Amino acid sequence: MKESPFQVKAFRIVMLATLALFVCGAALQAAEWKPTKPINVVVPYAPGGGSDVYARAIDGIVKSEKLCPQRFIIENKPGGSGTIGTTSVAQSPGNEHMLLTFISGQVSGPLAVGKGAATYRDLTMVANLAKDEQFIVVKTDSPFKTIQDLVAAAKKTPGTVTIGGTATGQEDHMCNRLFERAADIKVRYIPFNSGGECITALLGGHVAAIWANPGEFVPQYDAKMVRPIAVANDKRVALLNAVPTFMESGYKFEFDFFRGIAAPPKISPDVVAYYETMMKRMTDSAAWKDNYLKKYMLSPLYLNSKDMGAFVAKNEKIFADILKDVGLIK
Amino acid sequence: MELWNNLMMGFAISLTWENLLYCLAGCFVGQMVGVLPGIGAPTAVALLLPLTFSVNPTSAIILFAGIYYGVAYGGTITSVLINVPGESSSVMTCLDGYQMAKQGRAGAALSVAAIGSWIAGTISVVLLMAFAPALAKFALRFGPPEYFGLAMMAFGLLTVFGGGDPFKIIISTLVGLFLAIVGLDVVSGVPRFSFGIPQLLGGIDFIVIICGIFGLAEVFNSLEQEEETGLLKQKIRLKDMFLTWEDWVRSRWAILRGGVIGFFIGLIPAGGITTASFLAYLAEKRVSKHPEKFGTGLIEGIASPESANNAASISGFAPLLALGVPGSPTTAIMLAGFMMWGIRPGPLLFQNNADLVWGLISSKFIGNLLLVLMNIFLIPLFVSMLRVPYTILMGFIVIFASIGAFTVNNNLFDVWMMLGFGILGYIMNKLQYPIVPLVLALVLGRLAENSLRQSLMLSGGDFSIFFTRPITFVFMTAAILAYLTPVIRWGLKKTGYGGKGLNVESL
Repeated sequence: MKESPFQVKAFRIVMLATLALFVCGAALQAAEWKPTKPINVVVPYAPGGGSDVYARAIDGIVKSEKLCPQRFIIENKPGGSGTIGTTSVAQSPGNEHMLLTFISGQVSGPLAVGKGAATYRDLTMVANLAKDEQFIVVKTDSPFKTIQDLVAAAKKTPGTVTIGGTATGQEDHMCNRLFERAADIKVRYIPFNSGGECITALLGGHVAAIWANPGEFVPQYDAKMVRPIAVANDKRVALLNAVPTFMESGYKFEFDFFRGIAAPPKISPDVVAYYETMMKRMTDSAAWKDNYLKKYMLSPLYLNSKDMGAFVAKNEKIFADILKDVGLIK
Repeated sequence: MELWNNLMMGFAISLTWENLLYCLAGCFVGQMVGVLPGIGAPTAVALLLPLTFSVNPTSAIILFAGIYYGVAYGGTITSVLINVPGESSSVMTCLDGYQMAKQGRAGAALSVAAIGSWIAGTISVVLLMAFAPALAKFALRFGPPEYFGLAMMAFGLLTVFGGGDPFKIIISTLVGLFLAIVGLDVVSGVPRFSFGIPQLLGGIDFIVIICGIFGLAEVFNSLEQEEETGLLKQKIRLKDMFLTWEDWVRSRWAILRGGVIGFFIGLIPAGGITTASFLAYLAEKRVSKHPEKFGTGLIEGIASPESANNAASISGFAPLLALGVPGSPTTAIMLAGFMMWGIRPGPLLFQNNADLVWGLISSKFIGNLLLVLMNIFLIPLFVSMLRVPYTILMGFIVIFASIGAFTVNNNLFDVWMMLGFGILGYIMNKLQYPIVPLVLALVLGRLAENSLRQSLMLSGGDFSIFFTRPITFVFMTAAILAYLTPVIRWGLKKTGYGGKGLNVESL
């Protein structure tokens, strides 16, 4: 049967309408991208560690605040100081149902390890959510009343003051080196396996001071066994307001121990925006402030995808500089 | 009296139906987790942590404590039955336990482990209850120099293997030390012998090595033998299921000695359950009148390390409860748990949360009792597994060891490594190299190396740090004496004392 002009016209209209619908639909769909299956949250550290607790807190709050139609599946991929889990996410380009906990150690780690380990450039930065402050802590009966006392002692007899911290090349060690440079001193840095071992060594009087995060020393501080004398932050920390920063004590440095969220590379901006908004709404919730920040004694630091990228890039430069200084990067 | 009142308050809490159920659940999960090689107490506790958001903290901590010491019971079963240690703390149990199983005495081996664990565990709870704060303070005196002294003393105990070829013992120890070196070095921050393979950065996991070197190697060995029957040649009689009077007489002191050693090693942060079981076994061998029979199915060889690991798993709570510092990976996770429930464990815990502390301590009495009953009743079931023809059992051993190695890091690479260690274990068996020195070096190598370097960093390179502190001094002296025993022994033989009824080997 031959088609009448009318039919052709009608056909064209229908076609156009359909096309328009498709385009609109696509646009609509893009604006409202939603996960269609459970989201894998990769934690590149062992169960029970700081990153694991962080991931599980996010999971709990996203669930209780009903911020995501799909559930999170937390997957611990420990090993290689965080590089194995991080690299596995970097090797899943375009996977829209995958997230990664991302902390400062995952920026400094690959620098020291070198080839083969994924860096932040191989991932998509989603948002930064919090930061952990680095304090210098001494025993209550320590002769060091202030950070100036410690520096004076270190200047008087260089290389005798002992400061404990976590493994060489990690946050505590880098922070310690920044302090040494800013104060122009040399201390004996004693590396331990974990934060728990550090505080134990301090309480036993085996080291004169340690680097620690509030979560690691506040219980002992409450019992008046230890006291913090300085914090490596740009301003004083609300929880421990009496403790001066290194900056105001005359030692010009600060250190960012941050906790964020990343995603695999090559995912579309809509997807990033979706997770970004979700994380923003989560960090604004009271549950986040009470059940995570307050409980674990962290400070809020929300940065969106773009700002986090710049922030991480800035930190990578600082880390690379210190690691070169201590001879871990040739 | 105050102690008694506190304990009664604790029982009033732990004997509620709800808490009894949590205790039972914890013990049961612990027992199961203990049986599976790859999943240890830290993983189990971490995985269950999010489920306890809505549970009250006392119940949650009772549950977790149950898992923690339940694991020490469960790890025994596979060690005895199939030579695959379910938990790293049960490695030493393989040595005599598996031999006993081959002799048809698996039931006795399992019951002495359960009863020994119960006795040592209960004594441990009593000591913990009475002296936790003082004990925790004592534990604090252990710094890097003390750890080094302890490790040196433990290596010294290896000289009890005097009967074997000293050359082979040294080679085996060195292989273990080398394996402990692999990975990112904490002190220098540099990866060692990792050949750019990211999976090796974190070091080779202990579980991966022992699954291969014990379990898989056993399969390779048995492939050569034409056995169509089960491990058990004779029919199991009910009498073989349980301890005879003679067994009890032989193991009672071993249980006590193991318990005491375990208790003290467990107290020390970084001491650990595995180290405790090693030292107990070696010490038992040292005091024994017939050290050469260890490893051939001696009941003391099971009683001692099993009592030690259980005692250690309980005393490990002292630093956590009294000071808020973790003494082991599991207690570190519990620390995170406390924070999740809104409790800050720390020096003030005994004052601020007395109900939680005493509820927990009293639940340990109950949990240990539940576990010993659970284990005794299940023994016939476990033992009947041995009737399975070995050709089929072998398959299970391979599956078990592979799952164990895989679940450590969810990584297939570890399974291949385990295969490699299986071959190594087989070769060592063939050439009659002892495996214990390798495993001991693996457990203590990293501790010894790190603590040596940390001590020397603390002292600025001065070795006198190892002799000027009282605890280290005692350890180092004991270690040096132990190293000298072979020389003294040789000297005594030379001068003829050996022939005059003096048991030279027992030195």
